[in-house]
Amino acid sequence: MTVSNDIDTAYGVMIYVEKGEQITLELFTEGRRLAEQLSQPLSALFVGKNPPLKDAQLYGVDSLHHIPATDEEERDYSETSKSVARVLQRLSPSIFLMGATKKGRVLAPLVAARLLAGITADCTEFSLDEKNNLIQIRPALGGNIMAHIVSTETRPQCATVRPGTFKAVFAGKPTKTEIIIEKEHITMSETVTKIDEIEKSTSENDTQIELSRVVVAIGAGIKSEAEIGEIRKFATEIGAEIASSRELVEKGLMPHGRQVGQSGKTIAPDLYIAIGISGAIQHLVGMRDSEFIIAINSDKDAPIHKESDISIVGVWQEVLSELLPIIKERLSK
Amino acid sequence: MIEIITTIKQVPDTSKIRVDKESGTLIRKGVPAVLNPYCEWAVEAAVSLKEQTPSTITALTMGPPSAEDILIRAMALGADNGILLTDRKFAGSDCRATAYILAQAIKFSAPNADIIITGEEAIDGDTAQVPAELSVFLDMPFIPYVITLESADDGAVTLIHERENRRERIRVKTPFVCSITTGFRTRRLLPLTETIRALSTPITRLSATEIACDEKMIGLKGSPTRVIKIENVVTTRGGKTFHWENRNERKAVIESLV
Repeated sequence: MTVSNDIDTAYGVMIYVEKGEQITLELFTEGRRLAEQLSQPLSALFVGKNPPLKDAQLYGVDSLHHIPATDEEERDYSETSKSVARVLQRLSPSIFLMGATKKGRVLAPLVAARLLAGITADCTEFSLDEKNNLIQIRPALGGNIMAHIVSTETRPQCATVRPGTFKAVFAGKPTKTEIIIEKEHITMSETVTKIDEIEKSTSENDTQIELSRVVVAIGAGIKSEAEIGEIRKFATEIGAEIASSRELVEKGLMPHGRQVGQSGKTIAPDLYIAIGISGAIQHLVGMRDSEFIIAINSDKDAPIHKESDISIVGVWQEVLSELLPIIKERLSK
Repeated sequence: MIEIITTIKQVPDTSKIRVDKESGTLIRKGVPAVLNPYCEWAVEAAVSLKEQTPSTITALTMGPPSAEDILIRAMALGADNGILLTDRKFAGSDCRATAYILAQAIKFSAPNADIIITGEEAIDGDTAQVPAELSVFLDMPFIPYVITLESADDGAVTLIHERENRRERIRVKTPFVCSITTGFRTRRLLPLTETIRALSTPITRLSATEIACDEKMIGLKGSPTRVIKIENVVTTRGGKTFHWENRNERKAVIESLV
């Protein structure tokens, strides 16, 4: 274990780069905003082969630090975190941000713990206090509250950010990004031996519901495979992806890759149709930025009705069969 | 004999929390405290490994004395022992402090533990940070997103876990820390005999001093992150509600969509 950096000397904003991921560009943009506000530089840290220099230039990154690694090396989270922690200790950034991706949610706390630094998961907003501490805002208690969190005594201030929270915007003009190769290597541990790959995730699980313009989401009001089949047919007819609240995933009726909410994905399609979803806040945080929300629920007191543009109290089978042609027509325009 | 530790957490059932319509504040009263579902899966994973390979399972939690309830649940599910870390000095611990305390407890009471099985995250915090941080404090490798632990032999465990977009079967040398991800599992109803057995198994209680915690690393004062403000989340959209049974309202909603 290493030790946290000195508060007085920590300087600059650093972004961990996941190549090919939109979240990296989103973090460059938000990092640039914070760096400008602090009048400090924006840097990036990349582990792997071929650092994405062009993105760094377009998004205003001043320096791009590169830890060369093979794909295999880079996949070992525990070992990667050791190298990253050493680099962070040397460079001593004040703020270190990673995407709250499958990888980031593991690597970030590994790195932070090695530096004994504070870390906040799944942030949705940042600001700075009068002493330039980073105020990290995140949903908690199943999304029922937003917590404002600071780490005043440790550096770097580490946080992960939910993909889709910030918009990626180019810097005004391309930056002359300096590439710096870090004298680090990742020691492959002999702990893990791969045996084989199981079933490629099916298209069912693999889908990117966050890319779909129209989403039909189902919740605890849907009771069986047969009912899901009916709704899937409806979704296909109107060209929508099907998503789910937590209950059906826990029951094993829907794959986790389609879960929307605090512990699933955050999405904002043009049209979100919620069927049999009560609207616990833990679900609402994952969909409330949708452009237009239609809710169908037989329970008139379900909270989802308040979070919708149009809500219908009724039996979903009856409602869907009548709305199908109307929505289809409307979407085809 | 494999020595398994499962770290578990008692949480409020967040899906049952409602917002008071008048004051906009959270109604926590009457919200039941439960064993975090991910932790329940962690215990189940330990039990399924034990069915393959002779093992002892110790469930470990930090919390107030009432957190004994989840240790009893874990033992009814198949854990052999329960340890409760309870001390006022632990109050206000953030992820790092919690991970440190759990690591101290494991070093103290199970220095030769082979596998530490955690749940991916807790439904009240949803941070997923403690398991990774715990692995650092124990200086063990961390294997996240584990679906099943298949078997154990010769100082290694064969397990299936998720990578970014696929599943792999890997062999991992012990000791290590892993976290169990959402699986397609349903909560089991337990036979009464198991609950009775669990209720009659003594639970070990340990304090900060007993596990030799550095006081600078625990509780509110030992936590690098601090919550400075809490905002209630206000729902804002407030569109129109139509009752399908009512013919006029049904007509209105259809017209509004056409």
